[in-house]
Amino acid sequence: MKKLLLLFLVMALPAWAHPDFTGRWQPVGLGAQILMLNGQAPPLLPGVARAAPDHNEETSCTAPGTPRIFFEPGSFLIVQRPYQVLFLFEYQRLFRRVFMHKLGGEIDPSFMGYSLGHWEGDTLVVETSIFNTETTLDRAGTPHSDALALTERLRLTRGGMLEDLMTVTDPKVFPRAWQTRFTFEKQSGMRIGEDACPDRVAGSSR
Amino acid sequence: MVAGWLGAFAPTAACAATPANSLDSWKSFTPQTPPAVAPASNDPRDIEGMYMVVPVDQLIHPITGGVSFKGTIIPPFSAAGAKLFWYRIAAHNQGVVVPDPNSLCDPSWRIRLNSRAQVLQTPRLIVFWYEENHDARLIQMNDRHPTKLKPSYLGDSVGHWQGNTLVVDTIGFNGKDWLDFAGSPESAKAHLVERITKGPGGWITDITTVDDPVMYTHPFSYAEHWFYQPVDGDFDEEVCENNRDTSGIGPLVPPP
Repeated sequence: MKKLLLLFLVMALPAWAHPDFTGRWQPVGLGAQILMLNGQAPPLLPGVARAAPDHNEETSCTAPGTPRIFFEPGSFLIVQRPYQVLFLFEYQRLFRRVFMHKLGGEIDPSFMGYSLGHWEGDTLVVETSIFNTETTLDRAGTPHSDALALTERLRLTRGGMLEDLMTVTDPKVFPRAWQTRFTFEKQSGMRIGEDACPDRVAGSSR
Repeated sequence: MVAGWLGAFAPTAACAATPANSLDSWKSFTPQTPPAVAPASNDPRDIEGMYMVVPVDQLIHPITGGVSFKGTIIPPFSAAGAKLFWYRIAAHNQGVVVPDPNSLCDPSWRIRLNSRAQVLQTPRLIVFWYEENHDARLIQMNDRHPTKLKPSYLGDSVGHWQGNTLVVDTIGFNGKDWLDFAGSPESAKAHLVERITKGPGGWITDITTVDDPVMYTHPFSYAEHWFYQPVDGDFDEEVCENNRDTSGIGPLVPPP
């Protein structure tokens, strides 16, 4: 009887009863280089060169883009709403939006790309494309092209971490699609620091 | 110098016939928006949505606590506040662009002209998120200010509901921001209290009371109105720092 009641309760859960990722999160376990699940660096197509790391956190305020933003210092907020999941990064006060329905009109290439999400059970699946080509995937110069496409599967683990299993596809740069995993640790509170990058790189000159 | 400042900061052509801080201003304002798809909710405590900040004058015209100057109402500057304000005006009139936080791509609280804003609302946190310079104000609901605050441009904001009015209390400024485009200063001791209400059609009215004993002789308040945009739309990815063009900015003129 109890099993039947439990089954009924589970089936009666409304469609919006997705896990709530709202909170402050800190990427953990990352170095400078984006790595595949086997711990190796993703192989590049012949003739594709590793880019010189042109984004120096100490001297530059250019936007690092997705997924490099996860390699940058600081935590980030997720504000989850039914129509949009907003990522607010402490680093340079940058943001990333995951729309839960398609936007009308033409989408311009951007640093963070155009992200469209949907729920598959307890997993938020995010497809991102339409990137500009002014960024690298990490702090070690792993390149990408305008053909970059990311598929992320975000879910809470039993340990309370937020896991982001990312599939990277870019036929102009990589011979095949590959996967990497980001892990985010929940932080207390909903405050993030104010990183006024122009002030920071200018030092005490103003 | 004094005679020239009003001309220098007269309302722009788009706002010339616009009474500052008046709800009437929306009648002559046509935001560029896609067709309506969703109206504002009828819940007075639901302020989530996309907004356009109604354009006003570049100088704050207080609705309470202001002083009269040459036929208009201006903030009640203290000696220190007036010195800084007039310095900025004089520099402007001499063709020197005094770098303000916005032109340097730093965060800024000041009244925004023609800026879109999005409000995301959860029980613990309300986000006022502006397209311009990707500024995000975080309002911690039913919370207290931390005992140790690192000074910042946007300060630390806590909020609570008083009936259908959202009351937001902000302290912890770094003293580098401007309250408006004209150059009304703000010190690190500024204490701002906003009373935010939702009106018919989803209008938001934000009455801000400024208590800054360093820059002003007494508290004053000003109003800002947000025009609800019935779209679940997108912001441009305005990354000011990437498009930073400092060619129009003059030398860093030291404060007087």
